[in-house]
Amino acid sequence: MFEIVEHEIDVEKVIARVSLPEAGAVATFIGLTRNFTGEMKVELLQYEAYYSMAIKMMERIGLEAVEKYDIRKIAITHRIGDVAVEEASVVIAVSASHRKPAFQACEYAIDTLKEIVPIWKKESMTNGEQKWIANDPDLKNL
Amino acid sequence: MNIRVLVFAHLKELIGSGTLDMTLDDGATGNDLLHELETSFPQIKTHRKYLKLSMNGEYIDDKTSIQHDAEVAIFPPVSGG
Repeated sequence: MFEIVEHEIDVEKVIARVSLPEAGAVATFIGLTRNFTGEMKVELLQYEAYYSMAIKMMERIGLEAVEKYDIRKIAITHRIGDVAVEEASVVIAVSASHRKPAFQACEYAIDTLKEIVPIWKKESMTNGEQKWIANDPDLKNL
Repeated sequence: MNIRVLVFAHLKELIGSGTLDMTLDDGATGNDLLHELETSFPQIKTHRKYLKLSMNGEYIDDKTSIQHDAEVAIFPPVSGG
């Protein structure tokens, strides 16, 4: 249910993991590489993970999501390595009887992932510049 | 005690390696570990206050004692997603 891959993410496969007859809703979040950061044109993002801890933290997010919201299943796949513009770096799927908790759990999962899962990204610009990114806006200059 | 420390992302680039063998006093804390790292690699000085520590895959603060047989890691703030 929680995995880190080095290839393109198969979104249908992530959704299939959470599907079940009782689920009347599946909410998904797909994080993609965006083509611009401010004025700078992005070529790709390079992701790196502390694999064992990242899986552990993703599993924790899953457990917490199930405790907090009335959902059935949650699956998270994060990609590492080079992720080009318009490609997905992360896919989250949540199934539930009804849509509201599915949406809420999905949002909770991506917000918490961005805070605690030890994965990092470096932006490569089309002009050759590279820069490590911090999700916390107060840490922009790292 | 001798410990092996994993480092990641920008910190790995600054240090030039993903693993470090370090010697610390028994009972040393996360703060002692960061101090030792900064002494060996002055180039990380401006980053020190942002660095995160983990032991056996759990976040720890800089007051936590480092266990000699634990998997210890130091890394910049995360930026997944």
